[in-house]
Amino acid sequence: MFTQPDVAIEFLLSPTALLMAAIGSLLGIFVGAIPGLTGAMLIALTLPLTYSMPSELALVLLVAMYVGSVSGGLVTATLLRIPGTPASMMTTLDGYPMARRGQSGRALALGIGGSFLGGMISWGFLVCLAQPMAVWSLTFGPFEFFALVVVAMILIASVGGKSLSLGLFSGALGVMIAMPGASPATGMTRWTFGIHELDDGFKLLPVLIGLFAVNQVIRQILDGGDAGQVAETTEGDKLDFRIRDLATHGVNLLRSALIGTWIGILPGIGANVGSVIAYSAARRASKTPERFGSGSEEGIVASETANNATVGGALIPLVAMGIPGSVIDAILLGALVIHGLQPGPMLVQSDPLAVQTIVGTMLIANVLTLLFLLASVRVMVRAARVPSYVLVPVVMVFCVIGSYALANRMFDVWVMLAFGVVGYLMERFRIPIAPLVIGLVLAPIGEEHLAAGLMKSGGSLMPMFTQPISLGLCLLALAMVAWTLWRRFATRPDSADLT
Amino acid sequence: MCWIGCCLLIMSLCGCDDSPQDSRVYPRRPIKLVVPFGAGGGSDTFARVLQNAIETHRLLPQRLVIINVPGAGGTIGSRRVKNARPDGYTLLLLHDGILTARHSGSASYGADAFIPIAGTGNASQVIAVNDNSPYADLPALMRDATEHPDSIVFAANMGAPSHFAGLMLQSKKVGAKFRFTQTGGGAKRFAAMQGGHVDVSSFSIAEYIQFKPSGIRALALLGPQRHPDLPELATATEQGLDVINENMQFWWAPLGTPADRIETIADALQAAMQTDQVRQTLAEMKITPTMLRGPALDVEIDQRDRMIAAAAPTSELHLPPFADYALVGFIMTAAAASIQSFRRRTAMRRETVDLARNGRPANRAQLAGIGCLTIGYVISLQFGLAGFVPATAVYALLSGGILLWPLLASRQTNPIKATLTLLIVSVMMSVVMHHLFTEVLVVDLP
Repeated sequence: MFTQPDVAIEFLLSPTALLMAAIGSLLGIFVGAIPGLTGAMLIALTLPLTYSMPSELALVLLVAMYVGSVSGGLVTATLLRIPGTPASMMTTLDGYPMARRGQSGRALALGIGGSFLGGMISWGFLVCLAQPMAVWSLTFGPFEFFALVVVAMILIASVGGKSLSLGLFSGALGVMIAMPGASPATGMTRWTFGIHELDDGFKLLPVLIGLFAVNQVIRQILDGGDAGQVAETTEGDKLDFRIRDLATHGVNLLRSALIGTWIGILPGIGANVGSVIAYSAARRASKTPERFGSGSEEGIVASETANNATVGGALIPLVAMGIPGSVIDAILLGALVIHGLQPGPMLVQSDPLAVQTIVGTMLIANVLTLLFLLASVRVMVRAARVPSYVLVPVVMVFCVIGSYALANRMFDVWVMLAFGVVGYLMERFRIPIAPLVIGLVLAPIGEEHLAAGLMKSGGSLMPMFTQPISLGLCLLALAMVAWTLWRRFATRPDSADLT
Repeated sequence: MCWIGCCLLIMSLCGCDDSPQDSRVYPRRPIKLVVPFGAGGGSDTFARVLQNAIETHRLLPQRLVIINVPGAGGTIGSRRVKNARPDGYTLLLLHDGILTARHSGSASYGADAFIPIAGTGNASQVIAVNDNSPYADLPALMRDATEHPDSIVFAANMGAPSHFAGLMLQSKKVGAKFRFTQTGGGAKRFAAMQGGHVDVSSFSIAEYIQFKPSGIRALALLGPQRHPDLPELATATEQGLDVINENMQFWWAPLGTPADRIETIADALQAAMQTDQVRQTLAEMKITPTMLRGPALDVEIDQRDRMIAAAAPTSELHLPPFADYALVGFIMTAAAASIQSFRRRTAMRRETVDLARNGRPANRAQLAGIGCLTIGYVISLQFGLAGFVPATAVYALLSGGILLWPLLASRQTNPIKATLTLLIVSVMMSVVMHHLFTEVLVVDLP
């Protein structure tokens, strides 16, 4: 990965790449700040725009958007009590009370600082772990990969949401949606019901645009649209950084960054869960747990550090093994494929420039995001109040163009619209969407590897339990199922507040 | 405001000046070339190299627009061209995959569903093993495959040329049998080989030259003669196995396309193949600059089709019905979820009621209005009822208007400012997006 980094550095510091990184982080921040627009939606809608770009430049843009969008939510969460992205949900709990007390500058400073340091620490892990993990994962045969996918799926189901059964249901629905079309194992088509447009199944991008963007538009219209409902803030106080914060919040910061990175590495769980778990860990470790929820500085630091740390963590399995760590990574995985790059253990060897670009962009975008946030906190509050009569037409036209441009066919546009309705209905019945997306992404990967394993072993499943790595992963999967069931049934009362 | 409307009207009129001219003049509008694979892949790059040469040397009076229609091993794109109007304005670029798709069963039609225009550029496959593999040459490998059938793991992309390379090898040696394993594209096959999970595989010559330094070794070239970049590598024929597996980029037109139009395109391609620009790029891509047309092309396609048919897979390992398992899993989790929500029925009902209250009747009417508008908009794009620009402008104006109306009625918003904003939005989304996509990004909008 570090062979000839000078090429990548030269590329990343070129004016075009820097400009892309700047555009990406800025757009990310703004979209993160605007309630109703999420990073996943921004990246899904931008992907078609990058078709004609060189792949490295496209990666710079998309990764910068990813970094920016996770950070952007903290401003509106603090000042308007509206989490711009779900990932800054926990920040509203403490940021807004502080802002009400006239400490908005202090609250924002803690959030921005935490975001930056969280991002940097997880970047360090990305640099250190991506290469060894990629080398190690070359020893993974088809059964090992399949076992890994199984572990990932169980993780989603067990950690993903409030209800185990609804999470499982959503994941199974995702797997189902992945089934029509060409089988990843043999290339034969199945479940197309005679519709030739279905020969290639449901493409990821239209499904995602529908689930995230169209669904949001429907909710926006039903909720009466316009954001700024009750938002009192005190104006005028400046961002308030103190050097000794590093001493007082150091332990919390490090712990939250580690939790965030770890949660990020686990497939299927994104920034939202990372910030929730870091927040509860900080509360448990705090000397003043009673202040959490009414303006605790520790709470803001924990939430914002952890949600940014998930970015670097989630990129590790993506770069090293081609397994997405979060919903946005699932889209980035699609972007790699669309740009002719082959995700998987070989990416580091076959296209070091792409890997170095991803890693370098994360660093640059982190710094740029810090600078932009420092410069533009107040402007963003106004940007967050884009009226819905502007937002809805713009988003809808982008949705239509975005899904059409993927493969130049109208079928995908209909798929996108249909999944918009599906996404809305799911949220209405409290079914989490993330397991569906991860199930949809992981099912073909899992099926391909399982089929390859069966072809290689002549139809026997035994190697799965005789090879050490896959046996270990199977045992891990069993342990997780047991632990999840135990936690659900033995400690039911407080399981709800953890997730 | 009025002038914006006028501009829109003029633009929409400009967009459809399809006035009937002399229909014998061909081509008089851009020709669409469907590449049935994603942007950036080998076929796409090849298409763009030739497109570039045709454009810079003005070999055709009109542009050649590349449309990527990826999916299902090229069959989504090829089916679209098969069903297109045979007027010479929709063409297909598809390599030997069009032949393998039929014989592996993933498509019901083959080369006979199209008129071949030309065969350009040819790349041989290479049979390779890991550096520390015991096999010194192709006969050694085939001997082992005969003595221990169904034990040597052959990494392939099932149904694609890499699979047929192995099938052709074993069909030439009585009793030989590889164990084929679905491994995917070139990089994945190489990774599996490096990790020691497979024994042998087939790569394109460009892939092999790229991966060779990282530890793989070629046993044979599946071409008619040795390749200038690998002069020491013997062909399979030299080693006593009469197997040739190459990938040629074929250009196709729908059945019924007039012969003179086919000739026009073939002339342009032939001229393009002779430019230094194309020859140099193809040399870098390790592609032999072939150019076949007319009867020679028909013979070549027929010959390849027969070779592939002879090696076609007979019986495959029966894999479990994964899709049925998925359905069972889905039904089971759905049952579990509904049992659980039945238990929490009261809580759920309260939540649903809350949600229902949030969606006030006016908003539901708005949602219904915008929903109908959206469906109408997509239908009009699909069937080309109106151009992209007018349809989008009208859609943006009306959907924004539906949302703006209650605000205006209750005097919450400055009407002039809001209307102006909406007009700007609709122009941005229609004219500007159209320009951005068709001119800057070269995507073919509906």
